[in-house]
Amino acid sequence: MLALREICYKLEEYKTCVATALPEIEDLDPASKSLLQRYINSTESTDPSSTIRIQAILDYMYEKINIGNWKEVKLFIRKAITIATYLKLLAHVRFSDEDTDTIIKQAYKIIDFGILFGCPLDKEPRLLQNCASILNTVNVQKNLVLKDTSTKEKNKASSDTSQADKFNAIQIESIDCPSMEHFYKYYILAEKPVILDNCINHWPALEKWKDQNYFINLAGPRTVSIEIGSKYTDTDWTQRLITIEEFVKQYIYQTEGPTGYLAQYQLFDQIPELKSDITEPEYCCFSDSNEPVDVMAWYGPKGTVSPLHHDPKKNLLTQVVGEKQLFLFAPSDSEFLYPHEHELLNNTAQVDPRQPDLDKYPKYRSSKPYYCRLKPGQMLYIPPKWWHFVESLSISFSVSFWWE
Amino acid sequence: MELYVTGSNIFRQWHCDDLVINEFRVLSPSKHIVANDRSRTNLLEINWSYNIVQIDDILYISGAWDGKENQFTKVPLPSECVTSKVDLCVTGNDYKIILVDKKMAALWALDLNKNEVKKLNFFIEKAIEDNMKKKKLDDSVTKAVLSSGTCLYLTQRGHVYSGILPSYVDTKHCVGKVIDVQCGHEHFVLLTEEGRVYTWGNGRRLQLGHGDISSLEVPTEVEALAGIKILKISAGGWHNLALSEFGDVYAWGLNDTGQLGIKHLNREHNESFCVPNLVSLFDKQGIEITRNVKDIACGSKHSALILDDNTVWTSGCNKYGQLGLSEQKYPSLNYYKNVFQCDNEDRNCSLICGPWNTVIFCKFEK
Repeated sequence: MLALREICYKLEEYKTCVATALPEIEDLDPASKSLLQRYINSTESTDPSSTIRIQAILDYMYEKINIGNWKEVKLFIRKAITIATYLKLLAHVRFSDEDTDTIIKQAYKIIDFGILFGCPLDKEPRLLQNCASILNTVNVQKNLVLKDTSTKEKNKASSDTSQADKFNAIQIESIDCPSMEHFYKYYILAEKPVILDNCINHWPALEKWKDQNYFINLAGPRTVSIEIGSKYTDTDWTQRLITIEEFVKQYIYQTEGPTGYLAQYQLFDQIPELKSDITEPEYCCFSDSNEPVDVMAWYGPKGTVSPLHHDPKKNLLTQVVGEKQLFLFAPSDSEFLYPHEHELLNNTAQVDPRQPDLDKYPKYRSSKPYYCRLKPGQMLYIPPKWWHFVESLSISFSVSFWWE
Repeated sequence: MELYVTGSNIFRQWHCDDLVINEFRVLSPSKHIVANDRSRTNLLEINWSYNIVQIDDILYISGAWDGKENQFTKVPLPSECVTSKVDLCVTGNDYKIILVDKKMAALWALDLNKNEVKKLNFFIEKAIEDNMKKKKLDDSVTKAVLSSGTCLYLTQRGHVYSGILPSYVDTKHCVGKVIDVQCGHEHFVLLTEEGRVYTWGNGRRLQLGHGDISSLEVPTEVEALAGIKILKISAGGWHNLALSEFGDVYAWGLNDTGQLGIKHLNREHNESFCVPNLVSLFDKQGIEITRNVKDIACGSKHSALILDDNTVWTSGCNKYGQLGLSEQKYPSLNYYKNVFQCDNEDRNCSLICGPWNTVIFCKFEK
C-alpha cells in the first residue's frame, strides 16, 4: 500500500495550484462554486458527505453540458468538471478500500471522464493528464489479447490503378517526400490532393502499433469514446464510453455485430505517451493562423466507413497500420453528390461512391472521383472542403492532422 | 397540508440530515417551519440547490444561499416591491431569481452570484405596441417559469411571453386559450383550454414530439396528440408527459435513463421516442393496471404519476433517490413502479418534481 500513499501525496501536490485556478470558475452558480472552493482550500481530507456532493456537482454539470451545442457550452462549467474530477480523484485514492489494482483502474475512469467532458484550467492545463501520469507509475494487471496481434501486411495483386479504373476514378498521384516549397506551391496553393510517400519512415508508431497488445499495455484501463454502427448517418449509430482494453477485445477483433470505431478522437492529448510514437509533419507549418494543429486518432477494425463529407480545414491523413480506400471529390462537384439538407448533416453527402445509386442520384455521373488506397507509411493531403469517403480494408490506425 | 419528499438533499434544502432521501418521507422545507405554520406554507418551486417557499405572503429560500447550505432566509425583495406591496410571481434557477409584478408593470432579476437586482420592463415590440398596451391593461401574470436559459410568462388572458426580458410569443394560431406553459432544459410546451399541446425550442433530443430532431421557433401542435383532449402537461429536462381527459398518460423525448417509463422487452437499450407514446403500468404480476392517472410531473431525468387510488409510480434516474427507492438497489428504472401510497384515500394528492426531487402534496379534503 506504500505505493498508493505516495501517489496520494503526489496528487495532492496540485491542490495549491488548483486553488489558484478558482477565479476561472467565478461565474459558476454560487452553490456549486462555494462547495468546490471550500473543498479545494480545505487542508483536511474529504469525508463521505463531500464525496456525495462532489459527485452531485459532476452529475449536475454533466446535465448542463448536454444543453445546447457542445461548442457553446460555457467554459466555466467544463472547468468546474475538471476541478470536481480532481477532488473526486483525491477522495477516491485516499478512501477507497478496494485492492490497489481496482483503485487505480477506477481512478483512470474518474480522470478520463474529466478529460472527456471537462476542459483545461489556464493555471494548470495538463492537470488531469499529469494525474494520470502519476498513476502510471503503478503497474496494473492487464489482460492481453492471446492471439497473435500483429497485423499482417498483405500484398494484393490488384494494382491501385486497376482499382481506380473499376470505380471510373482518377488515381491520386503520389510523390516522394517533396520539399516544403514544392508541396506548398503545387498542392496547398493549388488545393490539390496528393499522396506523400516516405515522409514518416522515422515514426516509431509504424512498428510499435502493429501489435494491438501495445495499446492494451500502454493504456488498457483508459476510457475513450467510440462510435458504434457502421456509419454516422445510420439510425442505429451511437456513441459509447469504453476502456481501450475492452475496445481492442470487443471491436478490433470482432467479425460479427455492430462496428466500433475510435474516430476523430483526441487520443494523443489524453494519453501523451502515445504522442512520442509520432511527430507532427513539418508541412503543417503552412498555416494562416496560430491555432495548434488538431491531431486525431482513427482506430478501428476492417469495414469502418466515414460517409462522403468535407471538413473546413487542411488535412494530412496519415496511415500507420492497415489500409484504407478513399474517394475524393473537388468542392465544385457538390451538386453531383447530393448533400443532406438537414443543418446538422449538410457537410455530408448521400451518394456512396462504391456503389452509386444512379437512379436516385443521376447527377453523380457528372462528378469526377479521385481514388486511392492508402498504405502504412503514406500520407494523403486532403485540401479544405474537398469531399472524402473513407473505408478501412483491414484493421486500421490512421492519424489526421488538421490545420488552418 | 403534508409534503411527502424524496430525492436530493445535497444542499440541505429539506429538514433532514441525509444528503440523499431515498423514500417518501413527511418533511418540512425547514426546521423553522413549525407544525402550525404548515397550513399556511406553500412550496412554490423546487430547484437544484434551493426551494422557494411561501408562508402567508412572505417568500423564503430553503437550501443553498450565499454560498452556504442548510439556509432558510427571506427572498431579498427590492424595496419598491415591499413599500408598494407589489403582488409577485416568482421563479428561479441556480443563477437567478426572477420576480414579476403580476400587473406586468416591471420585473426584477436577482443575480445570485453578484447579489445584484436589475429592474426590467415588460418589453413590447413597437409594431404591436398599441394593441399590446390594451392587452396589458386588463391582464395579469399567473405563472413565470425559468429554465436554464430563458423564462416563460403566462397571463390570465392566455398570453405567453418569453425571455428574461419578456417578448410576446405569437400563439394566435393555437386553438383555445393557453392555460399552461412548461420549460424543459431547452424546449417549451404549452397547453390550451381545448386540450391541445404545442411545443417549440430545441428538438435535438426528440423532445418536441414531432417525429424528428428539428428545432422550432414557433409553438407547433403535437400532431400525434390531436384528437385527444389533454388536461395537463409536464416538461422534464429533455422529455415530456401529457395527461388526457380519460386518465391516460403519453410520454415522448429522451429516454436515456428510462424517464419515459416505456420499456421495450426485446431491446437492451432504452429507446427514445420522437412522438408521444401511451404509457402502460403493470403490477408485480405483470398485469396491466386500468386505473386512471390523476397527476403527472417530470424531473430532469425522471417522471412520477399518481393514480386515482393515491398510489405513486415513478420511472427514470434514481441516482439521488428521486424515485423514492434505494439508489443502491435501483440506480434507475425503465418502467413505472409503484413506490408509495398515500395512506388515506380521502386525501387530495398532487405532484411536483424538482430536477432531482419528487414531492407529493397531500391536502385533507374538507
